[in-house]
Formats: sequence, C-alpha cells, structure tokens
Amino acid sequence: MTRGIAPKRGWRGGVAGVLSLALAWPAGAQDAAGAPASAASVPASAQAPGERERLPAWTLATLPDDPVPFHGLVNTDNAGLGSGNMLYPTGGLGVLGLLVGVATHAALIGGSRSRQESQMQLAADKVLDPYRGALSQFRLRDLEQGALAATPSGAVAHLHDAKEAPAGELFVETAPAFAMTPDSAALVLDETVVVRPSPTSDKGVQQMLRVVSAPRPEADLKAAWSAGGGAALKTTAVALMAQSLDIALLLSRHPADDKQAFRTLRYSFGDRERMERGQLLEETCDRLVIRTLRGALLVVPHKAGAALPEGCPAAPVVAERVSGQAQGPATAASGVSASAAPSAASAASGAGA
Amino acid sequence: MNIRNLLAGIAVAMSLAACQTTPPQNPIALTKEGLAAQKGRVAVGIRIAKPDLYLPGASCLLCLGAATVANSSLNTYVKTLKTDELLQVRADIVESLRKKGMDAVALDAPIDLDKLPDLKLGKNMATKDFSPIAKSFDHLVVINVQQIGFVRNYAAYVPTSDPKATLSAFAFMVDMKTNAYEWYDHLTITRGADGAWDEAPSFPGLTNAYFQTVEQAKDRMKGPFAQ
Repeated sequence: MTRGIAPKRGWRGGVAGVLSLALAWPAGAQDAAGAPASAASVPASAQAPGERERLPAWTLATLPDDPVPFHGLVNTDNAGLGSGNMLYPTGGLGVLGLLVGVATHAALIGGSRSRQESQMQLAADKVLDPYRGALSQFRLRDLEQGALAATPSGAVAHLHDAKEAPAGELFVETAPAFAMTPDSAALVLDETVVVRPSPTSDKGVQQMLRVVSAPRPEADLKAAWSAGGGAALKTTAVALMAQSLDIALLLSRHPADDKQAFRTLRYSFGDRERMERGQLLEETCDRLVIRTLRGALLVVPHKAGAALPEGCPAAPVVAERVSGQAQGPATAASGVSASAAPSAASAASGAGA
Repeated sequence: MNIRNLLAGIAVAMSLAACQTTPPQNPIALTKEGLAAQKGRVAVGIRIAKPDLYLPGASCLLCLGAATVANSSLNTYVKTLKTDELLQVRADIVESLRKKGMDAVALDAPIDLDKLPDLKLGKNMATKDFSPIAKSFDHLVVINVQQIGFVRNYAAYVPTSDPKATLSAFAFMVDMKTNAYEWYDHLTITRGADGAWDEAPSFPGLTNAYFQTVEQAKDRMKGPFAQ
C-alpha cells in the first residue's frame, strides 16, 4: 500500500494512506472553529482510528439540476497548422499595405485554427456518442448526492444551498466536469473545489483536481459502460467525485509538503501510459497522488506493470484487457477496487447524507 | 530549340543538381540477437543541444525578429530548462550493456560531430570518422540530440500553432573496425501542452510537455539495449 503504511486495497484505503502520510495529519484533530471534533458526529462506518483526522461537519453546495457535463479529450500534439512562407501584397500602399496584409493573414490563420480546434473537439466528443442517452438522465444533483454518501471523509456531510447551510460548517463548492479517455477505457474528472470555513465566508482554499479511473478490464467497453442504463458510468463518476472531495477537504486543512523533488511520473490513462512532471505526494497500491507543475492534484492509477510498493497484493492493480466477449453487466465502477465498489454503487443510487 | 531555351534548360538542370543531397540514412534495427553477438569494448557518447525556441516559418529577418519579440518570455524561459535527465540516458545504456556482459564505458566529453573528419563510404556506413574519440573501442554508441526545447510554427509574421515541446535526435552504433552502422534511429517528438500554454513566467503546461518528450526520447534510445 503506501510506503511505510500497512497495506490496504481499495480507493478508500488508498486515499486514507495518502492522507496519513503525505498530509501528516495531526493527532488532535480540530474543527474549523478550533474545537475538537465531536466523535458523535462521525459516522461509525467512516471511522478509522489512527488513519485519518475527524473532520468537522461540512456542507456541499448544491449544484444546478443540469446534466453532468461529459466531453472527449483533445490531443493537442498535432494541433495547429504547419509553417510556411508568405509574400504580402502591399497594393502600392507601402507599410500600410503590409500591415493590412499581415492583419488579413492573421485573421485567416486564426479562423483556420479556430475551425480546426472545433473539429478536433467534435471528433474527440464522439467517444461519448454511445452513452448520450444514459448521460442525459444523469443530473449533477444525483452526482453530488452519490458522492456525498460515498466520500470517506470522517464527518457528517450535508447537501444545501449556501443560504440554508448550517453556520459553522465547512462549506464546499465544486465544479465537476467529466471526460472519457479516447480509448473509452477510463473516465476523467476535472474539478475545481473550494473549501470555505463557513457558508458566509469569502475566504477559502481552492484546489484543482484531476482524478482518473482505472481502465476497465472488459473486452467490450461499450457494453460494459452501457449496461444497466450506464450504471458503470454513473458509479465511476460518483466514486471519482467522492475521492476528489475527500482529498480537497483534507488538503484544505493540511497542505501537503511542497519540498518534494519534481520528477516525471508515469500512470495509466485508459489503456495507454501517460506521464506527468510533478511531486509524488503519495503512492498506494491503487493510486498515485501527484502535485503537478500547475499546483493541481492528479490522482491516477499505476501504469500497467508498475513496481508496486512493498506489501501490496500480488494481483495486478491495473488488470489486463481480457479477450472475448463482455463480462456481463457492469455493476461496479472501474475506477474503484472491489472493496469500494459496493459503496460507490449504493451511493449512485441516490442515497444522500 | 533556340539557344535561349537551351540555356534555360541547362540552368534548371544545374539548379536541380545543386539540390541533390546525401540520401537520409534509413533506420537500422538492433535486434536482440544482434546485440547478444556483439563482442569487445563499447563506448557510449552523447551530445545534447542547448534548449532553445524554434520558430520555423518566420523566415525573413524582420519576421524572425517580430516572432522572437512576441515570444520573448518563452524564449527566455526555455534557456533555463535542464537537460540532466536526458544526459542520464548515456549511463542507462552503459548499464544495460554491462548487464549483457559487455565492457561498456561512457565517454564523458561531449561529442562534437562537426569537428570529426567526414567519411563517404556509402549506404549504412558512418559519415564521420570516430577514431579520434573512440579508437581503442570496438563499438561506439552515439546519441545526438540536435534540437530540444519548444517549437512554434509561423507563416511569416503570423503564428500558425501554439508552442509545443520538441525533441529531435538521431542515435546509432558504429562498428569501429568497418565504420558500418549496427544500429541507426532518428526520432522527432512533439508534444502540446495539456490545457493552456501561455502561462508565463514558468510555463507549467509546456514544461510538463518538455519533460514528457525527454522521457519518451529516453525510452526510445534505451529500448534496443534493454531488450
């Protein structure tokens, strides 16, 4: 599991490991007002003595009742136009003619690039075409209710508008947006989370997060994601958001060590390997938590065949894609391990806190 | 055919002949069996260009000046990027060769190909005489990173792309007895920033892409020796 921490499998355990090592939780946890958190306010199921701080109660700001935003991811490596020469006709106007010529050229190039970007985004979005029907029924309210229920943060959590939020509770605002990897094997959550000390406070800690699910192992990804009205899409999205909320909440109270060395780290992005330059805040059996050069958090699965920390189970964390037909109905989020999936699945059913 | 047409034809023929260059060297794979059959001492050298900003297409003097001014902060920043991690590929190759039982040594001094004598031995043969730097070795591995940094395409004064990280290199292994290439690879890697690129002064998106190109290049160069 984590280096130096007892092995634990599953994303909840993974996150707990992250927090206990990289974020160096103090032994005496306090709430936003400085008072010790009440043990009675912590759901028994969320308590893990010695692993995580008892957070104060918190409120998640309600999102509009809109569909959850999903899009495809554009690869910018081949974006842009090629280089070339240009002779500008001056029309007998000298420097003025040259300036007009350059401005016209710039406008034409700008238009071409804009069209190219639109086309690339449209092409990337096609990966979601098979799931449009299911995703249209997936609302932001459902997402955050599920995430709230699934988040392992050890505190009572509510879902309210800012005006109705209990005074004295941490107030969390989010802006989630999801994407599917071009190979359809994984989901990606890009989210901005702001944690305020109270609903009326102007101050807050803003955190950008990208959380990538583990690649699905099924041969028929379309069938796996689509089964049960897109159940796997929803449970994975819920699990990713719960994970992001948990990390953002804890980081807001205990910023991670910023003296770690920067290095290029590899991880699974769908079935492909990707790299990121950043600081490795934590490594668990399931995940890497990386702070990027932009200061955002990247929570990603290990690359295929990665050497896992000592004590991790021998079973591959990132399963090989199996050949043959789909493995039946997809009932659990691929982004979570088996131990966490039931919670996430039940969370997706709309059980609010 | 009048004399004017004849002269014009000769001029065109001469122009085309002047354009003729040495054909590019095709890649030569280094197979596992081929590597296992190698015997003797191996030297591994590297040359890495300084990171720079490349502006192809901004070809006129005024265009280049305008493009350089327009990208001045990126131009300043790129010169601060380090190449230490790319340099590590030399030690990695030496280690891989030693694991295979070969007597491999890293050449500490950078290789300056321009200062080496030219050779014209034909297809799949080295075009430089490496004996001045590796006379006592049986094989020489050279990594030559010609271009590293950022590239932004232009059409005269107008940028036609966002800046991207770029790395262009060729790598080869020469039999020092025959000057024949035993391995030859040419790679050009270009990676765009994930998200916005214009984030002066530290350009995190482009810096991330830069280090991705470095890692990709290392993988490609080390691959034949790690098989």
